[in-house]
Amino acid sequence: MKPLSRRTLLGAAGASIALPWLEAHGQATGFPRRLLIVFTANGVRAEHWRPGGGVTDFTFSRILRPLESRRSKLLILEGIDCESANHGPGNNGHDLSMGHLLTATSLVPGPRGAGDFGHLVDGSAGGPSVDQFIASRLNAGTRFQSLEFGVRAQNIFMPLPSRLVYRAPFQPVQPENNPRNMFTRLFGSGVNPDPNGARALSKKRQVAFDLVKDDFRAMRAKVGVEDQRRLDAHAQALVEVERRATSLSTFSCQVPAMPAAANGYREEGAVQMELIKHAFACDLTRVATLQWSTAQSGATFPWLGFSEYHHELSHAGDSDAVATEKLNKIDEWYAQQFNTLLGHLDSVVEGDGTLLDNTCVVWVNELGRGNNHTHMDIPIVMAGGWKGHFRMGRYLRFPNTRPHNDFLLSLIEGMGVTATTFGDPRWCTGPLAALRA
Amino acid sequence: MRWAPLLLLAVTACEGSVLGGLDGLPGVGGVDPIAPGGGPTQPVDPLALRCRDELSVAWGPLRRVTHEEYDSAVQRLLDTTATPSTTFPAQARAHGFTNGSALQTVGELQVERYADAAEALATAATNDLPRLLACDVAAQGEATCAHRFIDRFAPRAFRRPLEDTERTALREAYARARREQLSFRDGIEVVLLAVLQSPKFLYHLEEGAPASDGLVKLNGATVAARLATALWQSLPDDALTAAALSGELDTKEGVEAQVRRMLADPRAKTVLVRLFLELTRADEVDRIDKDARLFPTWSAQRTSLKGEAARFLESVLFDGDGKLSTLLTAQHTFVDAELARLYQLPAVTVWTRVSLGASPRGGLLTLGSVMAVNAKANQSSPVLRGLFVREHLLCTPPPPPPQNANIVAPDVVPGVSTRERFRQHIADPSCAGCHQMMDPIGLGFENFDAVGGWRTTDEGFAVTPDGYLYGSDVEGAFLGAEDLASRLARSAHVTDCMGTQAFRFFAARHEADADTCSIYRANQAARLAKGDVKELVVALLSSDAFRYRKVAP
Repeated sequence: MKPLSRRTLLGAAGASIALPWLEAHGQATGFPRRLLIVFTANGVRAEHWRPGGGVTDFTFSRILRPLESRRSKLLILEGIDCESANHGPGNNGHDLSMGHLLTATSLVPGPRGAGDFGHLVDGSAGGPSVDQFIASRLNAGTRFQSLEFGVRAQNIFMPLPSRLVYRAPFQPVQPENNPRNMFTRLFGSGVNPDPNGARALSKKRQVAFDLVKDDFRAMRAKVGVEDQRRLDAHAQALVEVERRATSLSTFSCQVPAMPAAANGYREEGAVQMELIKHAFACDLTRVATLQWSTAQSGATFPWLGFSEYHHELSHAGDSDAVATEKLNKIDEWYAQQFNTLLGHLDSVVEGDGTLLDNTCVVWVNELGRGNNHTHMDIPIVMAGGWKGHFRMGRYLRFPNTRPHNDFLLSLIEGMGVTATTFGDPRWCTGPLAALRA
Repeated sequence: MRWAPLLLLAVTACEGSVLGGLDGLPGVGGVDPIAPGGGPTQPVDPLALRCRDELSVAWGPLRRVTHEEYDSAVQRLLDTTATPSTTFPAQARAHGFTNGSALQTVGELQVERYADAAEALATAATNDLPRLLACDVAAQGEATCAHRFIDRFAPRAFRRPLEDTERTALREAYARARREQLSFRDGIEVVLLAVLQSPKFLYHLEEGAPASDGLVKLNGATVAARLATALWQSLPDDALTAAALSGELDTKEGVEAQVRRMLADPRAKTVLVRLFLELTRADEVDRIDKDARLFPTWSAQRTSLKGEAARFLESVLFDGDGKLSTLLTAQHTFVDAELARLYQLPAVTVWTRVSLGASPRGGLLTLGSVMAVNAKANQSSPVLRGLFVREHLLCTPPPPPPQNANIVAPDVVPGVSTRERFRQHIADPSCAGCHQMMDPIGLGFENFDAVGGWRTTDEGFAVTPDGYLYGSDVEGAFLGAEDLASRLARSAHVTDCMGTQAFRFFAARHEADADTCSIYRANQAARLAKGDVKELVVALLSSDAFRYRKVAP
């Protein structure tokens, strides 16, 4: 991506970019905390993922070695269980893993129940995902409450394994998989209307939105409860879109050039990771997710020298050394991507630190291990850590294991959102004090 | 007469011994068995009795316009070739079809794309105001022309006449824009933005008059919109709108007449072909990857395979006899240069219809796309192919595997044939109960490799495509895909399943018990017409399920 140019923009014809913390403080002192959750699929071979050594003198495993140079900014966790996924409705390991991963509560089957391979045909996660829980309570005033980046994160036949992020049950949040569409979302078309044109555009939109909102109210009165929920989700999203599209704030920010068209899993992922940096650096949002493929990912990695579908490989038995080697190569490649992403964030200077320091980046996987679909001991790598909020540079084991509700609650707490529990309270025992100690 | 209420039976478990046949096979339990000795028994058909006068329809959720409907609607409303939906988030296919309403919730990304699309469309449309308005602004005045535009544009977008309050509200939006110093053009754009983002355009609110038992008899405009949505995935045309106004659509006969007219339109062709492309998932073939070392020309082939499927379907449905049995057994297909190579046929340079006469290939099942979609990256898949036949053609999917079942396909082992690997698979009694409902069907396709190419050996062993179809009215052993196809072509279960699948597609939802008679009657009509797909469509779209609605719970 080219170096940045300064310009002011408005709405869909150009993003209006405010830097609220600058406005609030008058100078660049207090940088906001951001949360970025990165998802990859199909579990890992733990024996090749798990670091060696002790808490602070740990050694990098085969899979995590690409992250070696960032040791001081990492916190690697072992012994976090996605315990809630062992309970409640659902019959397919990937439905359960994905639907629970960021929600930590039971799935809700749809009217049709289970279909092929036990997948819930029209079911949903049972609550908001942690990012949406945080974003909806932050009141950050950023242009986007949250941003969802995807890299081919769509399987139209499998609703549950496809969707990581939920506002509420049956309200999945779809990621944007196309980097250029995402760029346009963030920074507009690049056309910079004159101030009069901007005011006219905003006014025009406002008159139309007002009538559309009336129409939603009128239709709501004519339909049943179930349909009201659909209309309400739409109307609620409309208010967010309206807010952006009619905003006249024109704070300046360095806006990148439109990325070149990317085609390919690697190529699209590379652009999305750059856009995440820009979105955070311009404070367009405080909360983001990056979803590589889907749960039960059928991605292929021909540049690694083989072309089996990832999910098929992940089912291979423990004794299958050939498949294990391929899986390790895939996970090592994802570690390289994660390292690239951390590098982008670390390259943006914010005060006496970097954007990475002000961010907590969490790399999670749907499963502990692919061939037995275990939800126990899911691999987690944290980076950044909010300038010492979490004590980084460690490999932390939870020998008695902790439910991932507790882990997610720690993220909520770190983002300054008040909550005493998250997900299904049966599995939530409190934030993980050890992350900070 | 046979009857097959397959869709109504609860699927709970795979029972029945491996060798003794599947007595407890879901969907078969209520069906008259083929009597020993071959002659069918004469069962009483309880559905005939039930459906003599029953009027019932199941509830369905408020549908959002699909991406296809959106594009077609704005193209017709604004005389444009724009396809805004290419930037919309993908549609989930909860019951296999892209128009399924079950998972159509709209989030921020979709709303934003609707807003962007409306703005781009409004800007483009008002670039040539005289053309858009067809009104002499100098002579008539701006307000008059704006009002006439509202009266013409909004009812078409809403697929029904405009109510007075709606007319007033749109006029007021225009007036407010002008009061706020916006230009005449901006005022027209406001109308466009408001209509194109309105739930009245984006959702199908279906209205009518109360009938019996919590049902609503849909009014003419709603029936017209339903027909246009179902069969054209578009807006009603003038003839349909006129039929709605004249009361023609208030009767079953009137609806039938319109459906027959609509079937002759090219839009119906596109949509009926789409029904079968989506049913077989052949439309997904150009999105899947194969092992590039084994199949180096796959990326070129997959586009051709999709083209073949569409051409084949259109040739049978619209240029041929239009029968389901012909779809399954037709002895022709279409190849381009890529496919002629793949199918080992004489070279061609352009798309060419070829006779498959002596070839073992033929019909829907052995389209390269159908074989490739139901296969792995580097190998065939008896499980997926068997599941495809069972679920999509027979409507008797096996129940899901038990909780925490370890779903591991047998590894590809050099020197061991697929058949041999799956023999070991099915020898495990905990797998066999369900897998014998799938694998023995799929093994009949072993002559077709992972990309739909023909093969006679597998890992050095000669392929023997003998298969077995358990549990249907055409149960028995078969040899190869052609044999299976001719069995399925004479199966009443297959034609009835087609009725169910077509219902799901046209109604954009899964059927429920209250839809039984709509489907049953349509299937009876299709049988009388010897499996003519268009007759099935006429009967379905004029059935109670399309002329009535269940009041929301």
